Amino acid sequence: MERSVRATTAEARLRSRTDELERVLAPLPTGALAGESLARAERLLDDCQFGAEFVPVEFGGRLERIDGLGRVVRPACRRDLSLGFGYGLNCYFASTPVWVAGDLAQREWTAALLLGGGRMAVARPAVAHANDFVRDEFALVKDDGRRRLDGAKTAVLNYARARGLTVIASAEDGTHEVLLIDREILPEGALRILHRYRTVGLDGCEFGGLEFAGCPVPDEAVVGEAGQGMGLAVRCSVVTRALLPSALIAAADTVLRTAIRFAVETRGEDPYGPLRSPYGREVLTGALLDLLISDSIALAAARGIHLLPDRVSACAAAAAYTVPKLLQDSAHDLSTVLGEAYFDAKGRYGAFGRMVRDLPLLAQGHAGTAARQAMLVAQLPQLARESWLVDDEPPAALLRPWEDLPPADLAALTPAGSSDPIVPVLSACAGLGGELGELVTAFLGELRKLRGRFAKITPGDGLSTPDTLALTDRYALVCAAAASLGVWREHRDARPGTFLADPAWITGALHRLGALLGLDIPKAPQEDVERRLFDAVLERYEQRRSYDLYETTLAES
Amino acid sequence: MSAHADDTHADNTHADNQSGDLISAVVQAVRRVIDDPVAEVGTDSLLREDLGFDSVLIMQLKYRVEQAVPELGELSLPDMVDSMTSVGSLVAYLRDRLVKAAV
Amino acid sequence: MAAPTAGAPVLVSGPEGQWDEVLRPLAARGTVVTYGRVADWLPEETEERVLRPLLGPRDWGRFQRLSHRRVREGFLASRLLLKHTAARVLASSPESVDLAYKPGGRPYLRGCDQIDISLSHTEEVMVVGVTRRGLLGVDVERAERPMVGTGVEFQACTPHERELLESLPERTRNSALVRLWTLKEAYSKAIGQGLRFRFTEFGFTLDDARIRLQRPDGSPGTGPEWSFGTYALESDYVVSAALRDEGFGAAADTAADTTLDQSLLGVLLGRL
Repeated sequence: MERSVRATTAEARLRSRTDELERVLAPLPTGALAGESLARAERLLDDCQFGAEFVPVEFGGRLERIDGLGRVVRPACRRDLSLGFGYGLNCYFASTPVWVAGDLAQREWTAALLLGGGRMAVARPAVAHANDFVRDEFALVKDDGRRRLDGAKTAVLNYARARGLTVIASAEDGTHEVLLIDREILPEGALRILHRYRTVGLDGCEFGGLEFAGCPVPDEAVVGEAGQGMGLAVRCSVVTRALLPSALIAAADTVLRTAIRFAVETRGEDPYGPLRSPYGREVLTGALLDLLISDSIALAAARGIHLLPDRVSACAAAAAYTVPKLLQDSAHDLSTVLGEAYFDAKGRYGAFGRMVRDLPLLAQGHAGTAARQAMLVAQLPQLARESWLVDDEPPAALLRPWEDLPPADLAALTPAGSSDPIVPVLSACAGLGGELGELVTAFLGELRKLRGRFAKITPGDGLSTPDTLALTDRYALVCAAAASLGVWREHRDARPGTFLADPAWITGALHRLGALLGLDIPKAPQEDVERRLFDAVLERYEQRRSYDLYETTLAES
Repeated sequence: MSAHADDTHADNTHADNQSGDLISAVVQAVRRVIDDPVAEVGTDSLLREDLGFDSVLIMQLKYRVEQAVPELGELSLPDMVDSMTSVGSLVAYLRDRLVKAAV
Repeated sequence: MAAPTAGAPVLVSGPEGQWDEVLRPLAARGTVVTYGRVADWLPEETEERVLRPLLGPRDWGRFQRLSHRRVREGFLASRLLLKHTAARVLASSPESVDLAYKPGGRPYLRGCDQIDISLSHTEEVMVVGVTRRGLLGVDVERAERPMVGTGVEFQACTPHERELLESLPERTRNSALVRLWTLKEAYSKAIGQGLRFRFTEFGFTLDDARIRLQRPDGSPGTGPEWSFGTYALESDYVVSAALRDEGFGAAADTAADTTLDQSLLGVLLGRL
């Protein structure tokens, strides 16, 4: 009894905080923040201590749950990604090394900075297939046992205003070090601010260059074990990959809402308008399904950090790999609903085009894809041989957003796991009858094929070929199907009568994912499934509830 | 739509007649668009695979169908393009439009 | 700063063609458009043993269902040009490249998003576009294909474009319409919509210096991330390309086997 009371309290805290942020941001326009209006929005967030969201409760902040953080940033991200991500979530991304491996002093310093409204920025290392954001890196030079930082980086977010910097620098011996730097105590001339890096998308984000010149690095700046920086960065990326989808989902919510608004306000009576034509309805319901699929795999990844830290990485990588692709594609499909209004730069429908420009940058393009694929191929051959179609399914709490979670032990995160965090849900649903049962069978067939292909790969060899990379794409889609199916089943079992307990959405979702995999399934779900989904799209618009798993009430803007 | 005076069709229902007219209107439009008045075109002819339609011809076909069957009014390409796989599937789509237009 | 453009199409006369001429502009500009002639690309061996692995199961199935000879040849030759081009760019083999299609029909390379691709063919010419900058759509038409008077100008043009066409001397009107058509197709294919994005909702200028996408009334449409080009191909064909630069800067390496960072993999495989 006491358990359930505590559980509802955690959920209630989360809901009241998202409602509060929604209310605070209500006066702002959606998707058109820039210059003065962006600065005003940032002050609104400061006034309600937004920085506390990025600090764990044990250090005086509000962060209890990773999935909760993913929900709390959505009100700001729905309005503008430069606000919600650029000014918000990226501060948490920058501070993850400290929460994963920092010592007490580093944690206390970071907590104080964020609680006081300060910013954190991160300078990531250069990687293969880099773009301008991850091309160059800082160099750590050791002289007589003293460390100093040198070199320039082109595009660091919040480069000029973040006081706290987490820098992942490469040493001469090829190892990396994660460093926590307080720029206010650096000697004169050690760090120079270079010019701003202008981008077409995320144009409210302040990207720009930084250059270190012989900057002394004291021992206490090193985060985690010396020489293990790359490993630490990889473990941190499990957390950021679990959270990134939330920012994308919030943006895609605005994209869908803007498309519906256009359809209702201008084309509602038109027999060929999107509300009445089969294609328009298909596109609008498809966008809702993509959002629910995306949120399901994001939920599994975020809650997995608490429940399955030693094996959640495959799910987190699959989420960050596949969610941007799903949501960018459905945004393009929705452009047909807007037609000419797709080109609006401002006004009632201007948020649509703006968000569509922001999404690829937020997803980090091919460099982002490549890093997520590396995380997948490193473990999928082993998961194929030892886990798929064998392992038991994950705990039910993984996919029950309303249930409480144990505190996250970020130090327990591993870069790769030895059993699959999510696909066993498919086997557990093998007995379903009817159309849904046929769909599950088709996905299990795909998983069997994937097992055959991956099991032939020797770990570490032949990983970076187009055919293996294509298999990671297929795995990510199977993973998304398993997470969605699990979310539906937990709602059916424990929350009957809710929208997510209705088989309509999961049937539609599996059809959509199956089409992307080219599975041999009938093309469209039955008419009544589509009608129920379309009604949900309209109803959530009219009642101003969010297009994600949570149906948060949105403030009128 | 013009009614057939032909005795051989006398026992057909009105709906069948309409349907036959629609099929022949679409077949004629297809022949005109591919510029082959004697092309073998039936309801099971696939527009792309059998008749070599590309997107220009698809758009021209929509125009010719609108011209030939004015009761349809202006059609919507985004809406009908999924139905433009075979002559028969296009006819089925158009028949559905006619029913909806009559309601 | 001017947006990067696709550049004039480069002829590739077969699988053993001049690939350096393709890879060089791709490295320099981030985008290349290749073209080939169907006759040059039809393989000598057409049995299942050879074609099935080249086309992949999905396209092999589609190929077998094609009955129209010209359509069949165009389908096969264009897939081969696309797969060989992609394989060269990825430094891999055509058999290992997974050519997949979005539900709306847009082709992409599954798992290899370092490049975006687009494909078009008409009669005996086919065109393949490749970019590492973001999104690309290409379209090719015979320059003299009759369009004026076939309904295309009503179905596909904005009021502004129709005015533009009417202001032209009659002898150049059809070729201007063909150019407009290919630009529209290129843009709509780049965003994965084909005929689903109404062609009457956007138009183009035909100013050679800088082609711009406009709204139906002639006011500016897309932002600076988009660039458009049209090119005459051996005087018989016209090719258009629409390119969206996602703003990640130039990444020169498109090979598949360098996709995965070695120090990252080292950590992930537990070797570091």
